[in-house]
Amino acid sequence: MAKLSRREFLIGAGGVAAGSLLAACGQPTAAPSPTQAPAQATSAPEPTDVPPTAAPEAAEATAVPTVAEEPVATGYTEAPMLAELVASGELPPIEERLPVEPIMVEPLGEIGQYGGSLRGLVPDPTGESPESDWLRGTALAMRSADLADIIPWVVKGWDLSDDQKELVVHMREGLRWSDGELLTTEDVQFWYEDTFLNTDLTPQVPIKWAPGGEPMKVVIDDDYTFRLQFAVSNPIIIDHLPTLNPWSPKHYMSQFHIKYNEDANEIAKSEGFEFWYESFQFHAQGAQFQQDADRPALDRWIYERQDNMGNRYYVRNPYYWVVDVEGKQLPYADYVERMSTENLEVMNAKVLSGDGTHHSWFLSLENYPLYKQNEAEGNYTVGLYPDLRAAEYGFCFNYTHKDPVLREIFNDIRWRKAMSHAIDRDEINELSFAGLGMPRQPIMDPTASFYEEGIDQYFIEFDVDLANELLDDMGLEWDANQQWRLRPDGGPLSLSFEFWSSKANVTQVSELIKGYWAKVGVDVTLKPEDQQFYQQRMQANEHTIGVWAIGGSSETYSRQNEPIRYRPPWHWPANSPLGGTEWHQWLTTNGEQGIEPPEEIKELWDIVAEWLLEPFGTDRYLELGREMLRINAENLWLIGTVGLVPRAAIVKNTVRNAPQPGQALSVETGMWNYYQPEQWWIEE
Amino acid sequence: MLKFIANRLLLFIPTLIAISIVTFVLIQLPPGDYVTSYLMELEQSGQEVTAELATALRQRYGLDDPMVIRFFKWIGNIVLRGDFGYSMQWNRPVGDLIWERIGWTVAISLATMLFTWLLAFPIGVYSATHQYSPLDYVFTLIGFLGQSVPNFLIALVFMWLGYKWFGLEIGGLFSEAYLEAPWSWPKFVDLLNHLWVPMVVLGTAGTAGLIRTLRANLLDEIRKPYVVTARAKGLPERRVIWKYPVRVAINPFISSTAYMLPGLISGATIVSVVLSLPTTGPMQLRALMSQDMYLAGSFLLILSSLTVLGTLVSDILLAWVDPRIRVSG
Amino acid sequence: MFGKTKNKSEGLFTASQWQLMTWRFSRHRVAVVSLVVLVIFYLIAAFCEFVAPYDPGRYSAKYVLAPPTTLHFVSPEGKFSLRPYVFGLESARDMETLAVVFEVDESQVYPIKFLVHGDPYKLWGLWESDIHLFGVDGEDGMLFLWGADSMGRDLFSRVVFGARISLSIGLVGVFLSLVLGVILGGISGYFGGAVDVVIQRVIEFLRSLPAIPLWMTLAAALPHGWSPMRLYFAITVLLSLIGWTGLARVVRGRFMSLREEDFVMAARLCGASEMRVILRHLVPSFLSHLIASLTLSIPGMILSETSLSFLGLGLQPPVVSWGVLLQTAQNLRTVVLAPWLLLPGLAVVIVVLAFNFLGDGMRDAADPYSH
Repeated sequence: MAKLSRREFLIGAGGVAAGSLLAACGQPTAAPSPTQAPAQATSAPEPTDVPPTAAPEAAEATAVPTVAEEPVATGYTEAPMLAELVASGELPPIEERLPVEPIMVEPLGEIGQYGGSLRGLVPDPTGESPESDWLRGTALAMRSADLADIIPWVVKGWDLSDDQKELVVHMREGLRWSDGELLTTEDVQFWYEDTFLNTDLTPQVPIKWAPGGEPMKVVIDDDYTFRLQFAVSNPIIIDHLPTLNPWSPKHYMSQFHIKYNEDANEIAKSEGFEFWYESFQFHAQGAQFQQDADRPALDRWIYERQDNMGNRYYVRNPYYWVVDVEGKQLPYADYVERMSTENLEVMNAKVLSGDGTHHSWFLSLENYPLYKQNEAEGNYTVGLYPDLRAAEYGFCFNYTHKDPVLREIFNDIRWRKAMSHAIDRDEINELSFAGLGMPRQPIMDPTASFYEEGIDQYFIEFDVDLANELLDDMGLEWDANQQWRLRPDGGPLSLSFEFWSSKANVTQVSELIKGYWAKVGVDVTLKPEDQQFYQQRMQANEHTIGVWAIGGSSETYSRQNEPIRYRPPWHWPANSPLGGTEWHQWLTTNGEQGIEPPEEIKELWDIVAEWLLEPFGTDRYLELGREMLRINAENLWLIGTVGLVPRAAIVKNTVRNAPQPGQALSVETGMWNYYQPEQWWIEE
Repeated sequence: MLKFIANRLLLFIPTLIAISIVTFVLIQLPPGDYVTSYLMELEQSGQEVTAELATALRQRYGLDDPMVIRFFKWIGNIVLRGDFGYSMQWNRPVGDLIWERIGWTVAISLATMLFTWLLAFPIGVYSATHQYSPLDYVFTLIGFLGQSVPNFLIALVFMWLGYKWFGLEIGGLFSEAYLEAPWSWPKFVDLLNHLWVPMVVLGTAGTAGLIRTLRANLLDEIRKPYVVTARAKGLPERRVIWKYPVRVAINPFISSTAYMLPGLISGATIVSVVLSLPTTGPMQLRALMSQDMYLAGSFLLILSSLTVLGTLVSDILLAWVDPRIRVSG
Repeated sequence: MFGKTKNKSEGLFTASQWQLMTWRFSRHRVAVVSLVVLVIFYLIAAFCEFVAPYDPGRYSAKYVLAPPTTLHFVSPEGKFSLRPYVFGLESARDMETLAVVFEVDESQVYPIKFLVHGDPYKLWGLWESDIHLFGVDGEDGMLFLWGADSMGRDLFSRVVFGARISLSIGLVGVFLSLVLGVILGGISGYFGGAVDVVIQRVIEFLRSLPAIPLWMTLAAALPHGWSPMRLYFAITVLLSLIGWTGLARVVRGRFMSLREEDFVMAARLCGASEMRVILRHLVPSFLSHLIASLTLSIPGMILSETSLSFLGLGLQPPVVSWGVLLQTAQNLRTVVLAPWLLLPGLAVVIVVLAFNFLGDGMRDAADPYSH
């Protein structure tokens, strides 16, 4: 498969994209973090030039929607369904609903028509759907297409002070909540004092919003200006802005807050809770958990209702503050629907029959021939869209394994190199990913600004002889039958390979790896496990090998959240620490607990920490980034198989201004949100 | 008879208590809890997962209370307020969720049961009375086939064929058009169109089993001397068969009504999942797999209580049908 | 009462109970056929390494989802031969649909032979060999009797290997359930009174615990150091300890009715002990139902294995069992593009049918009232 170079990626809006990090995208505010929503990208005006990976047709040069620099229209128009409500007096006229300076977006293809409904399918009534649930949200800011800038979205702009300890934020005048009330700093203050600082609602402030150990301060200047103040210099705040939504509709939510309503506890009890904060959180929740249709929001489409089958219905936000270059208020589509089935096969069958307007999250490459076969009947187009995931399947050895013999073996670089060379990645690619992926280590994708050519190809050749040589070098001798190698202390070298078995290709790849390692004398026992149990084992440092799909590896993700793939334990430590759990303990408790890591790890930890403190785009930033990747690549703590596998996606032929095959579609860029769903329209 | 019933009722309560304790413990046994699986999902979609989030969520859902406290809270709520707790997956009260689905679950189960009985009875009797006839072999074969093929397999195949050959909309009980519409004749027809697949799939195994057992039992009875006597005395054949032997042959069925009741509620989980039916089965399965404590626990409690109730009913029925048992207590 | 007499010349009238049964059984043709079929299946399961043409783990990207190979009996020249042969198979991936497309290469001809050399194996882990019952010589030709799966593995071989697990896994469990069910149910029904009440409560309690959550809990509670096979075995045993209740209830019902029968009274009058009455007299009269239940339970176990594997609770890959094979075939892609992957279902059906017919025949044969 054609190797995408970084240049091609960057130029082609194909890979380039927004950092809409779902980092709290629609996260229910049961969490202590503020109600956040996914950020979207604006666009780069560059054409999509990505050479087709294995897509049959060359992708057309299309641009991702742009935010217009100069307002073009003079008058505004609105959707017919809203015009009716204005005529009957239920809604104020459009000029009074939009802010003084609404955002103008140049649509991807053409100016659209109003009407229709975007519809996503989901195979689990309680799960979330990137095709529908994620489409709604908006955030304070979003990433530009080339990753270099953060662009203001809900707010008008900001200024970072010279000492980088204060950020002044300017809001848009006249921007309103979905019920018509103005969004002002009153809502910001309410959010800050009464939710962020309230220990019942936010038991613990995430580290992100408490640089230097102290929660950030919010100071109100006037109705439309506020400041964020930090205890220490915090330039990375800019990167975090797309995940920040520092407001809460005070005029609505205060009725559930004990400070403003002394009957809040009674209200909670009448709703079936015990305390006011439970009911508060219930009402504040977003995403697929939202139950309160009255809660005001800033979304493109607002929650209307749901039924007990898991189907959810969203309707356009009459106060949405974005218009197209002709002054038509967005979104074009009137509704967003989420239809749920009980299982994946029924969902697939519905997809084939033409149900739903766009699909990707739940599609699999294995079913591609099936999707292709039904294109005519379903009136859709299926295609391959590049994804930025570093590796579909990556694993760590447990470097802090309880067994000292294994620990010593795993920490030997020759071992890791050997195990990597023993894997036939081309075969895995053919069998599990239709040959569409790229054999590579799970290092950042080529769109990263400090990416170096070849950094993902360390120790990647399939070379059984070399592997055997390295193992011989380590002193791991063969047994009498020349079948398995022996541990230094005598017993057979046998490893327990636990993995989460629900994903079909995890099982498949694990089986293949077992076969490859058997050829170099390492005996592997496969243990498919329940996901929760597996995670617990990892958390308790009891596993031998930690396997996972390596997403969350892009530059944007690493800046906006945490560079989870570039320092121990190479995944979220709270949930699924893949390897080096005890090192992580040592590093985060300053040596009080855990096991002391080797020098390279300490060095890496310091470099990553410094990188996070460095403002985006400076030379030092690039230098540190390169170092970070290099150390990881050279030491091969996280081993991968195949990455950058495109995803299959289906878009109905009646949907316009939506992404086409060959354009990037990735969680790292917010999936569909990168393509501004508000400017998609449905042709009748 | 009354003494019999009273006796049984007295034992009902302690059994229920024991059941509630055991089911609660069962739910808690697997390691991890709802928060673990929820965080896992968050992570899958690229969201930030921190230890603080985990703690906060656990606190919010009361998952860090000791088990004993949680148990009493739960039982207390059920008994005193009829409140079955809160489902963390669905973010709604458990009672609402179960209640909404029970209607269809019972409807489908009853329909299937009726289908099964109506079909199985005459066939079973015919088979027994015409043993070894060609039709007997045919019925036996069909019956066995129905029992041998795994349910979920037929379900999937039928669903696809229904779509390909008959243009039926896939899954669920209604086509989209009628989903929210008020009841009308076309809506009813639409329901039947969707219903036949689950009924056939769910019914085949049950029908076969019933036919077999009925046939076996009836064959036993028919050979008994009293039947020979009745025939010799000139009683019409139909009376000979239906008056006594059939009544006795039903004996094992009555024993098995005990678990028919919970079966009605849990509604053939696997097939419902495959066919995407709005019944309690799939909901229960999902609750168990993600350890949605209150939802899963409530299901277990309801099912178990129904079983005990069913046993009671079945005992009473047995005593009524077979007077010999009544006498001996 | 039906004791043996020593006068052989009276033939039929003095044949023992078991002799009578065997003789009656052999008249039931379908049952006999079923017995033969089952014996064949169990033999195949026992010698699966020899019978299967390939190693079940042998995969290849070249043959992903290959359809069943056509057997030809007439050569391209028009010659008929008793020995069938297959053509070579070429494959390539269609980049439009991403499917692997196959083309038959008629220039390569591979006759099918018996006792060929193929993938090496160790029969029962003891004897090394590489002789297979049938197959094609060499490495290039492939004989996919039932097609290949998504990793290019021969389905027929996998089904043969799967037989070993699927046919054996339920036997112990069923046996345990049977023993427990008959004994406890019998005691309960025969003695009545307090004993009955206690056993009934226990049964009720156990039966009210629903299967699926129980299974999940048990699966979680068992030590995870065990291999999947051992876990499954353990769970099957545990479940049978709960499963005996079904049979017990029915037995009890029957016993309660039967204990008033004349022959029981007669036995008691003769001085027979209670246990003897139960075992020697009540049970045989109940035998037919018992046998019907037994033969119905085994396929029940087999079907349970497939259902639970479907839910992801039973066996899982890389273990090969019919349930696992069906579970991976349980999707639309299979139904539409590769329906041969559903053939393990055929194996299940045949075995279950055979057990049912067998049970039927045995029941008929054991019935003391038929002439």
